Amino acid sequence: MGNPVMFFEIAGKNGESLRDFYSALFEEWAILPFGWSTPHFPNDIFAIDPTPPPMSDEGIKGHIFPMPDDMNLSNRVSIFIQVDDIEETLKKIENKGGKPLVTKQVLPDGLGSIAMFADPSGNVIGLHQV
Amino acid sequence: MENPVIFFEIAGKRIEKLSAFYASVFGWKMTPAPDGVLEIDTGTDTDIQGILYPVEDNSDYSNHVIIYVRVDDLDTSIKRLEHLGGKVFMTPEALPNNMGSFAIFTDPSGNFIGLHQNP
Repeated sequence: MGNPVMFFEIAGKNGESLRDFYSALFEEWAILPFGWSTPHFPNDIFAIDPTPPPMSDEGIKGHIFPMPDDMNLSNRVSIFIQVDDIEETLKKIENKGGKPLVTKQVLPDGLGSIAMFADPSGNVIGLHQV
Repeated sequence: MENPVIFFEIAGKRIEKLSAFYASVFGWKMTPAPDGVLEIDTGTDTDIQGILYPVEDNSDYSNHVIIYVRVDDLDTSIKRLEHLGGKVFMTPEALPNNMGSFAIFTDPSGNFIGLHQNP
């Protein structure tokens, strides 16, 4: 299988004002609280479905991630690449000049697992395993 | 009006190194396009398409990830985002090969987001 880009993330310190901005700019986007948190995701995350039914399902879904206040990063856009095995991929990333940033985290509700890495240019990119 | 997220861009200096990284870790295939851009084939048609974008050595920033949202009309979206506290980073530009036009803005948190309008 290939390694498709299946998800996006828009992150900033003030999640609610980001939600308000994108709701008003793209009126059809469905932006709703995920309704869960994990130790690694202490803040409320907003799920984004840019093309909620009955629209076409063109494009990918995403979320707004409220950056924790103590994070030394104010904002970022990221994409998530689907892989078969996160741990194997993180090893490969390290061997090829990338840097693992967040080790494998299991998401609730059978949503799979994620991890984050920095590529050789410093871009922060996510991995997702179903 | 639908506004799907339909495209991604990963940018950095030393694009050869970046290209080699994504090719060997994810098996992505890169094809040269105009202006030093590399088109990405992720090996599946279930996802969105993307490019690697070369950042010039003398640029004051080093890298970025951008997602592109398709809109009906760039000018209308720009007026709206400016009204809502966003800022235009790059005014609309036509793409070659009848691929439409695009613009880039920053949201209130400073994230770079692209807009794309079909021809």
